[in-house]
Amino acid sequence: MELIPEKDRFKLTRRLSPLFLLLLLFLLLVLGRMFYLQLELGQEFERLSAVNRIRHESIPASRGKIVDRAGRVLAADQPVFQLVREPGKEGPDMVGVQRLADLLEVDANKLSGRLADPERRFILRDLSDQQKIRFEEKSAQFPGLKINVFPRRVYDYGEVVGPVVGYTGEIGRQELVRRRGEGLAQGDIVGKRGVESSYDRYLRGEDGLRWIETTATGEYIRTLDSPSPIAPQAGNDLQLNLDLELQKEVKATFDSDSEGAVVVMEIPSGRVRSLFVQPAYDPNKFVRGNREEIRQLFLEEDDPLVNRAVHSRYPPASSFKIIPYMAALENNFDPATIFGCPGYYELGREEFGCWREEGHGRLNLHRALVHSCNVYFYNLAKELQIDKIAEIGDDLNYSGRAGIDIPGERPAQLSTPTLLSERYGLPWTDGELLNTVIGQGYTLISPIKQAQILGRLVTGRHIVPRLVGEVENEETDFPSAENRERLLTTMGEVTSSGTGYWARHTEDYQPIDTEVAGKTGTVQKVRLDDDVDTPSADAWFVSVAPASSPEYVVIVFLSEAGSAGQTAAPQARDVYLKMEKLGYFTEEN
Amino acid sequence: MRRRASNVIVFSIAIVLSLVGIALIYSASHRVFGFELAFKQASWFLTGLSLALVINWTVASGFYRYRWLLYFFGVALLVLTLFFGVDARGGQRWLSLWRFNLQTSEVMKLFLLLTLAGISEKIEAQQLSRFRGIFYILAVAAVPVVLIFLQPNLGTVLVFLAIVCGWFFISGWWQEGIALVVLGTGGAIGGSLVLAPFEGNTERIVQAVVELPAQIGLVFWFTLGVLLLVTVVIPYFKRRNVNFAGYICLLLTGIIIGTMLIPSLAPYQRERLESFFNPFAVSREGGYSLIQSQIAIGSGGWFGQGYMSGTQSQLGFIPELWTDFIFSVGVEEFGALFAIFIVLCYLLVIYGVFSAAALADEWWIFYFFSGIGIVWIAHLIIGIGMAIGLTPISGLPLPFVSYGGSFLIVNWVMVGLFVKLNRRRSFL
Repeated sequence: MELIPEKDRFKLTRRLSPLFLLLLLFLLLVLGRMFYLQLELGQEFERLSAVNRIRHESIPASRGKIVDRAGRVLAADQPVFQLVREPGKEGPDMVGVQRLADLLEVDANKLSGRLADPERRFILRDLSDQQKIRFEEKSAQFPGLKINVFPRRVYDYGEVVGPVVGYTGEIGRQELVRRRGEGLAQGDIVGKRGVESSYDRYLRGEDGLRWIETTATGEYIRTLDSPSPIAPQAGNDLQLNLDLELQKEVKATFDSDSEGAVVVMEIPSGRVRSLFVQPAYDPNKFVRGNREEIRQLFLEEDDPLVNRAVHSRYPPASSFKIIPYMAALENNFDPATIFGCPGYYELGREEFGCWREEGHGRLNLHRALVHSCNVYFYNLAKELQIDKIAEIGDDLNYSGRAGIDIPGERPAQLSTPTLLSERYGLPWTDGELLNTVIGQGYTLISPIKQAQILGRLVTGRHIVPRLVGEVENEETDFPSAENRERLLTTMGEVTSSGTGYWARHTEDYQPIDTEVAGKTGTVQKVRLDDDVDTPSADAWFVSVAPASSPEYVVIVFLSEAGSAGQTAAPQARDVYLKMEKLGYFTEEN
Repeated sequence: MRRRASNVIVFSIAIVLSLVGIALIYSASHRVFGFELAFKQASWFLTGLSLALVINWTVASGFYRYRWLLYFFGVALLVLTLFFGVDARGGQRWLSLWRFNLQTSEVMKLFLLLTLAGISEKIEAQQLSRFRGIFYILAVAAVPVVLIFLQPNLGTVLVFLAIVCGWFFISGWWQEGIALVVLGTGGAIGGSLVLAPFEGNTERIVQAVVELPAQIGLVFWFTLGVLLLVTVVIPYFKRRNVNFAGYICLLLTGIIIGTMLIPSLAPYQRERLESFFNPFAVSREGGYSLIQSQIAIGSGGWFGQGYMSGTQSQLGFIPELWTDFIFSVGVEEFGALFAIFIVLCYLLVIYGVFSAAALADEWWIFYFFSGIGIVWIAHLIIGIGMAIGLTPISGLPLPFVSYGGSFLIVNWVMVGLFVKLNRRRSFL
């Protein structure tokens, strides 16, 4: 630490002074600039009386339309009329309220109740055209009330596409914080759920801004020209891959009270042509804003807000067997290997049954999948061990999300020793291995993820299911072309002579035109309580068509429907018939 | 100003500014965050204040003794930030430590000041040549500048460049300081050329000028190199004064660097710059906030619209209200009086720091104190300048007032060091 010699001390002030002068100059500039700004705007201020104020108001941008692949409008803004109170005004007296109620034919008590709350701005939402005209004719009698036009989302196809499209609503506090920096403010309308939410930024456009002069109490006086208003930028229209016609036809294959989901995905592009779930909700209920209606949606026992194709996971049951099947082929297991099925499998003192109690007799790998023989797969599991199954699970990215552009997708999980110890704190047992190989146990998967997995097994591509656009994918050598061909042949036989017979044949045993290749899956449920009947099984049918050169993956999931071969498979057939009718399997669609 | 007086002034004004900051942050953020942000700021203020007091009971010169250790620690933090930093606002600037996100570049400011002070003390005591001195200072400053540029955090890079430039002045190297200022001015002009909204023919001419270096290619660079060599480099190394032609050359170089730098900026930075030249063209994030900020300031009048009732700031129209635009919030709610008050506060604080520097006994204390002043000046000029539309580029927090834990705490540590070192023979 060196002392400053006294002879140098005079230098110090000299060196610092330019910096200080710079600061002084700058701060003077700041003050000058501030007074300049105040004068510039002040001209406006001064001209106005002292109590008037300038505020700004956002000019809402119109939100883009959502259309299906053929341009049919699924969601669009439409003007609606609302009766509002002008800020700071009292509104009509008792007599006026009665007169207004008579004029608009509404309940006078409700009306006076709303008018009594001075904070309340919206008096009546949703005026009919008639009500609007009647009010406008006599509006002079009701000072302080006026009619405003608001854009509102209208979803013409309600429940058919509701869970895909989603709905819009006022931005929540959490979302406001999360999307900080996007220029959103309280009260802004944003997409909630579905593609309305995932493509919100694309759809919403940018609100404009105008400066208005108001009285001190906030009454509107006029719009200012300077500063000039910023025009709103309309949002973009969004085209979905979805086919509304197909979606409607798929709905027609469902009983009104059944619960389930159907996914139709084009491969290898991943374009989702239909994603139908039931029960579903009508998005119009949310935008209409009737509180009772919305409350009901949240309370309903069958949870219509849950998109069963994306937000729910179920055990894949036998539809999982295509995975150990492929694992066997990829690990050079000889497909000609024969195991006998007496109808059960002994593991220590426990017996693991086959679904066919009398047994399948002697089968090879191919026949085992065609007839969905559990015992063969138990034997196969002992050969492969969990490592090989976990390995192929990793290769397929089984434990993950499919990546569909609907918010809230739940990732699938594959039952492995790691999952059991980390998630459930359970040890791995041989019994668990047997459960895993037939898709029972801790493996869970959503219909949309099933579509991705099956797409991978038959094309060798990591296909991302998308409602908008597509994600490019490349052909890989996993699974090998030869093994993909084998799987298709075997799955083709499932529908010609195996458990999926009804997916390929009409009720009078006639084969349909489309060569469907698929696999059934019946999720056996355990009776939890002696007093209650065992719930019926959930049913899967996962399929591709045409088997010779796959173009579409169709996944059918039905909750508590019973044996898949009798329920999901024929329903898949109906979907294929509708697709045939719409020309899906004829030239260039 | 006597030592005791400067201590009292710096310490008490720092407290006042911090309290004003908390009040303004609450006003600007309570609609969305309630008490959350104001409470956090208050807790950081108390943390900083306690650190300042703790420093008062310890040997403050310890910081100086271990300056190199601190410097490398700071560099290590910056490197870690590049790899493990938290992504936000278009850059990786924060290191997540338990529940606190540390903005490592702010900590580095303090460490760099200490290191530079050490180098300058050596230069003064050993009468090192000016060239060697400049080389040392540039070398030490370059490391953090590059690391922060990579984050990227343009605002903070500018603060570091301002520190270097200011350092040249306090070292008495006028010519170098002025050269840097000229170069910087050129850069600003160059940037304006690229971004300013010209119309019709002017636009084409400007376009042509901007594309000149790329079109002429090597010949252009060669000519510029020769010009610089003849007018600046040779006279400089021959210890002659750089003349007018030299400065013009530097200005030109600055303009060229400026025009070439803009396209390499991150989109959000570009937008902020663009909005400076034409706020009404860029409607949302960039220009929008600038218009809002200026309207907020313009509508303040003498006494403002009253606490918690500024229309612009209450409706949440200004993005990053509580960090970069806190000045606008203050002016809108408390009017011109607030601006005058804040300006006086900063003038007094920096006057206090500088006058203490001029009274210092040791070289390093002179440099360290002056450095503190430079950091604050840089923040004021770049930060306030942007809020009122005087200077472009990303906003910077106002010392003590703006929301942000790292900068507030570092500032309070600087106050603690200042008070302690300044008081060596007198008492607060």
